[in-house]
Amino acid sequence: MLPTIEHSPETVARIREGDVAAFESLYRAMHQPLRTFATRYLGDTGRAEELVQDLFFDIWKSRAEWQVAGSVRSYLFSAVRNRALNMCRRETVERDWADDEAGDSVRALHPAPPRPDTELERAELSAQLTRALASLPERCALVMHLRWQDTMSYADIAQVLGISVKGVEVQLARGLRYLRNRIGAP
Amino acid sequence: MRVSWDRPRPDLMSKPIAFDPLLLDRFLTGEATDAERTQVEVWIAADIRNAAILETLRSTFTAQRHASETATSWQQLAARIDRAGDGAPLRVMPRSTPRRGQSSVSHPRWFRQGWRAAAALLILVGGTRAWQLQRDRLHVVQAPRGERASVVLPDGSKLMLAAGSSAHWRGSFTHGPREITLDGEGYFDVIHDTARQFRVRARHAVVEDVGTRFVVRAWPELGRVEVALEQGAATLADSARSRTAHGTLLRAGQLGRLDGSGHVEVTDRASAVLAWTHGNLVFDDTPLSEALPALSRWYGVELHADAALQSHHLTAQFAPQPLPRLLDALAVALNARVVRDPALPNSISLVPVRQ
Repeated sequence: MLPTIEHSPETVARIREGDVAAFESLYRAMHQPLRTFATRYLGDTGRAEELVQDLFFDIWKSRAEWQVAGSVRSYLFSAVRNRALNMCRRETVERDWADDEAGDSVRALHPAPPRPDTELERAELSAQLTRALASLPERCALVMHLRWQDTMSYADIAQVLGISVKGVEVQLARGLRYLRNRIGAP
Repeated sequence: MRVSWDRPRPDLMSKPIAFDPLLLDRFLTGEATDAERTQVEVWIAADIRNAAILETLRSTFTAQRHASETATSWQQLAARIDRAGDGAPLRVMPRSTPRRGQSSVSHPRWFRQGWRAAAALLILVGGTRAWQLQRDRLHVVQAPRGERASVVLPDGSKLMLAAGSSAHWRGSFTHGPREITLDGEGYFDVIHDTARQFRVRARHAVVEDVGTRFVVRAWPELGRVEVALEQGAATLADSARSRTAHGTLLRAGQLGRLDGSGHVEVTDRASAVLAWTHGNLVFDDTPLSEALPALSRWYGVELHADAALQSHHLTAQFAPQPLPRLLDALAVALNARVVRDPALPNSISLVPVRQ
């Protein structure tokens, strides 16, 4: 199978030479993943859309000098993140796990709800999980997003978010354990 | 010798199965090995809470892609780059404009070579999906996969494109024959003008109207071109012979099929081909190899069928409905089941149910 435009090593060279078709294909392939990613930072699809268009506008404007180390896809996610961080305050955006493991155990001490019938249980579980997902630290949610929404490798996620590969693994494992603990032990 | 039976099978063990977050991660991205998949499936079956976690993660992290939003966004960006005009416009076309009076049978070479490039530097006209290339007056209409697109042509005739199709024409239609080239499938509602013929070119076919509404269907997987008449009359001919011989005359309700050797077969089965223009999909003893690409384009997904199912023919009417419901019906009809890959949300397979 031929690599898709966002994975092809030739994409950057083609765009540098002014290949409009390659530029358009890359935009069409990456517009929605990047906009969804930017929305996580900016909380607003309109501003996210603007950010993505600005990025591609700037790339095309200075395409002759465009340099990408590694995959163009990771480059684009990194660029979106940098621009998004410049638009808001870093520490509030990438909220990480606070050192309050105690919080988890307190929640675990609450008595489990009585067992209703299966359908109700399913609906209740789904609601609990959705709440738990929303309460995840943002950095963990970002890692999950890049991993499962955009199927990126640990290495690419580490590069995009500026953390270590081990850090990516820790975020995923901790996040999943957190979700599981929020709905009670079996 | 069944050595493996000596070991306890995981699904027979009564103690809770360990929760392995990184294994679950590999399962979600499709990187898990077969053995690991089995392990996760056992884990899911062991507890409703486990199944709920997986279900929630899948539904949260499965993107809904909207092709129309991307199309609009690209138009905005392309227009902005062209407006900027700072030495980096989206313009890669050759300077030379083909001379008027050049044979209309073949496109100028630059056009054939630069087709993809050309599509990228067109500028939006009005609120439609029609694009206009300023200098060469080339107009292109495109309907992305998963969507239809409609446009009013310069002479007042109307064109509706089926999902995944495109059409182009040159000039403003104000003099000379009106000629459109179609790639895919389109519905034409032509305003008749005895002075100026209306001609559609699609693959190896030429269709000429005699005042009419009709569908031209020219998908590569068909190997033939179909013309279905809703009203009026039109002629269908092989482009290689259209200059020397008259085309086959088609009347309302008739379906003409031009095969690869230039032969035209006429039946009265136009209605199935016309159905999509009213929002329905109708298959009339259609091989699965033709029905699946049609459904894929209509819903903007990739549908695949196991080789064992390919010989099936489909006769069905689908009113507008969500894809999952349509897939369920299709699966029942084919005695198959629907398999989705969590890593590729738009890729859906039909595999036979094993007895």
